[in-house]
Amino acid sequence: MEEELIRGCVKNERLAQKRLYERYYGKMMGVCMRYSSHREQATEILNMGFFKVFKTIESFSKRGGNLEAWIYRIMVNTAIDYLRSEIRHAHSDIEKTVFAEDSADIISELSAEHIMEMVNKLSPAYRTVFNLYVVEGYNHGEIAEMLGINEGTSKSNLAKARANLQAMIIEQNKVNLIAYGK
Amino acid sequence: MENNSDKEMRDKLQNMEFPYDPKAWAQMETMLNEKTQPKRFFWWWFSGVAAGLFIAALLGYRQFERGPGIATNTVAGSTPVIISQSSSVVSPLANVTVNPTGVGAVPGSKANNMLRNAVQNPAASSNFQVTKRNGVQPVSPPKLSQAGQDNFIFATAKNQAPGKAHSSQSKGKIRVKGTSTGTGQIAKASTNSKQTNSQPASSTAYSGTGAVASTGETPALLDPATLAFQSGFEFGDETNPALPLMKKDEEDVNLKKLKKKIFNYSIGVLANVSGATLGHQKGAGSSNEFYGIPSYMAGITQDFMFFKRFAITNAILFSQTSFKVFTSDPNYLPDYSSTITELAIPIGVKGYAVSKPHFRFYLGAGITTHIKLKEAFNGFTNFGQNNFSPQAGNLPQTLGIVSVGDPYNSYAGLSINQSRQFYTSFYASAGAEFILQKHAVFFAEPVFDMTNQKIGSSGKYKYDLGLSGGFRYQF
Repeated sequence: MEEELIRGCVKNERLAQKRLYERYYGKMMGVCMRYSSHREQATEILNMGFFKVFKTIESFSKRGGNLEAWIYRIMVNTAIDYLRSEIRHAHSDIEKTVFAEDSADIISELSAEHIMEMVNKLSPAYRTVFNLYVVEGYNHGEIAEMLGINEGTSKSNLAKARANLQAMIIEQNKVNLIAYGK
Repeated sequence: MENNSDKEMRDKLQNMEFPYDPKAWAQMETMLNEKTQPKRFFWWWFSGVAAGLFIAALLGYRQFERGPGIATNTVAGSTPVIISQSSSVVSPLANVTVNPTGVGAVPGSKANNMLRNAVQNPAASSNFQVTKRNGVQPVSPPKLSQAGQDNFIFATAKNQAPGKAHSSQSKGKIRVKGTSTGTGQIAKASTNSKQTNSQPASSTAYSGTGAVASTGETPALLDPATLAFQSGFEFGDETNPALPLMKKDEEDVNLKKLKKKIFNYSIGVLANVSGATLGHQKGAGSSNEFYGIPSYMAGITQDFMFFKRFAITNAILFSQTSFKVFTSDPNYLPDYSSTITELAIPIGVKGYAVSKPHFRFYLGAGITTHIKLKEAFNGFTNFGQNNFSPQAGNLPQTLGIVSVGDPYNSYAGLSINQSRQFYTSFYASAGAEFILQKHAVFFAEPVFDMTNQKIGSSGKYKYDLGLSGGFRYQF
């Protein structure tokens, strides 16, 4: 089935492209949303990523591999390319650092949508570093290279991202408690 | 937040999926339709325009060189008679047409006789002039003239000059320049004189290189090659002192000289090797570095030169250029090389500091449009082990060859200039030209080329120093 889809895409068949798009839309939109501040931006990144997928799927079909991992990789790279200038220009952002406390329990009670919403509220620089480090699993050296920043900036951005999320989580927790009290 | 918090977030974010949105696909489809076709269209458009310009330049030059075309001399008291023929004559005489109207119109048979006689001596046949005289006793040659009728007088030419002038005249009038030497001329056509009707002292003494007819000669049949060579004749009234033929010849000669002074065109072949990239370039904001590898170009070049001091130069070259890219973290991106095959179309200007008949020296500058045809990547190391890079060993050492007809690809991050098919560079050069036999131009020029290339989103300037050389034929 997957091979058939790939063959169709290699032949530039629109129906096959659509099916591939539909198949991976949900997951890849999740990836793009993590790196974006709003849905329209995420859709734009998603479509740019799929455009690359369709244009290079022939080379993928020749060498083989995990299709989903390949598309995932393209989406992350596309998002980084898309946001790179914003990320660089945001180095001087000064945001208040809040000391972290163990909030794993609170997070576990939050929905994925809530967490996504919080991540989206981060500045592009913090959000991207947070995603690359926490979700994708890159280390600071790798992130620094990918984003064209130095390691110190990557670490600093991650700390600030965490602090901001922490603040948002605490705020959300208060809201929940108040709502519960009522 | 501690690791547990990270894990909670990671798990929730990674597993998050969104419902399919048909509007997103509609946008995608529009993108697919828009971004594939214009590139190809542009490529064909660009090629067409380049080819068109090239052909137009050639045709324009030919037209310029030929001049404004045939101008018939209309002399008071007579009507010009034009014998014309196509240059693609197979049966020559059948294609000779004579204007039957006008005062003193020439019968076709007589014109044919004249033609036959004229080519008796092929070497001289291009060096004659025919005029008619109305109602005047024929002077020569007897076989071609009849009392009371129109006369044909062959003006003779001096040496080889007129022949040379005519040899490049594929269409239009054949005129006479020069003076026949020796005695007994039936016509005298000196360079600065309009006199063409002197009586021969001897009926057989038509000497000199340009003499074409003598008393008693039997007209011979024209051969196609000769007739094709003689593609046009003009008849004028030589008894009229205002007969402009000789003057016009002079004007033509002068015009030709003037044209040579104003403009000349040359076309030929060019080859270029860029051997050295001047150091490595490091772009702001990224630690990627790249080094140039020698580039090669070869193709066709043309020059439009004005006043021997200024030229517009253009070429269409097939080019191959390579880069080595060293990344700071091979775990993320391997070191690799990129080899680009492209068409390079430079257009620029040259100013000649020295412009002598056999040597010229110039300074030039311009821009080169590069049309990337193919880009091949070759990796030096494997990708790293992290989650979202292709696993080590998953890719072959050769990363891939990308057709730049499809510029949006997963190698865009690797691609020099972000897989863009078109980009431009600036060049400056200084060169020397050696001209042999007036037409053969050999040239050599060191060239400095500057390109703003990109890797990822980092702009980096690449500076090349190379040497171009070649040959052009100068018309």
